[in-house]
Amino acid sequence: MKTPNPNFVNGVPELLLLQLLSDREMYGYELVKAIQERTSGLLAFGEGCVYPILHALEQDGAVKSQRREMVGRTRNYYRLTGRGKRRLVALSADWDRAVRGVSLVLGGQHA
Amino acid sequence: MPKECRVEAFRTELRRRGLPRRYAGRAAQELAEHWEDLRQEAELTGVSSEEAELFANDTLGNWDQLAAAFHAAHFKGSLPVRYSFMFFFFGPLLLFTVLCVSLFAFGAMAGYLAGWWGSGSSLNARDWAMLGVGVRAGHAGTVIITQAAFCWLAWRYRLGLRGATYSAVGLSMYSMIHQVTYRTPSMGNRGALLWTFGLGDDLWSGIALFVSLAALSWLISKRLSKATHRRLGLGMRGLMSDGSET
Repeated sequence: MKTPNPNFVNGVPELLLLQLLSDREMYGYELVKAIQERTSGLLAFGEGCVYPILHALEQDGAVKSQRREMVGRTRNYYRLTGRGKRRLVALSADWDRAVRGVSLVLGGQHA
Repeated sequence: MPKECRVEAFRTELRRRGLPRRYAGRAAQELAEHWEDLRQEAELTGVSSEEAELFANDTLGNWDQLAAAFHAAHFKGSLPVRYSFMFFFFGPLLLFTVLCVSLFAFGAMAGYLAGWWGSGSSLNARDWAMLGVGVRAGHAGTVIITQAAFCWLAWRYRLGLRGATYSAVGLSMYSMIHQVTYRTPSMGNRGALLWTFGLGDDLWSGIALFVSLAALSWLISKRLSKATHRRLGLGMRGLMSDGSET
């Protein structure tokens, strides 16, 4: 029996953050700017909302944070862990399946 | 509102919601730093400092909604929320057993050092009777402490009645399979303290004791939960189990 995936929609911000952190470690503001840049500003959201998601990922052991000084400013840098990498793979697969499913419903126009 | 006041109000709001001081401080600090980055970003475009602050406020998001999101995220990952049934059903049994064993072991050790046990015991019949009352009171007190501790945890993690009910049911069921029997020593009889598992003769009084204590704690938990919801200005249902608000 296939298990339902409650993160079908809710897991999207997680997926984006994990994907960006798979490239390199970043702090919150940097992550938000990277999302805006890579999505050409298509995703609009209150920027503060990335922190609760990052903290939840940190509680799950998917990311680790470290306070570090860079160019005169101290910030919390987040980096992906081994568990985070596995989660990214799982979430990516879920997302890919969801996109393909939705595309099929829409008549393959968006595949 | 100036940034410092807003950040302090945010920190206070997180504390009111039951988040640890350290976490509230970290969350407030990260938002303040993000706000500062946004303000600097806006100032680089040549706008006035007031416009830059307005931009930072608008872009960061509503602080009340952010407080709710931080609250939900913090508790969502915790053991009592993620595995609430396992935690609140089996946790009390573990704590109760540990407390009981510790209490009786401490009593046995203290009695040994005081010379209460053995043929040369300094205790008279009245002392033995008092000791029996003490053992029963200690046993009942352990139940109360256990249930109260888990009621507090249920309130702390905003699981309210659900967590308290699991705990009450767990302790009540536990009462069906274990008995603590104390027999006062008399002439030719050394007396005994027996802690046995399995269905015993004293089943119904055991059930009544545990259920009544659990029900009492359940009511206390309900009051605690209502008081918290009133304090935070939430609706009747208050916080959902996953931390989101109704």
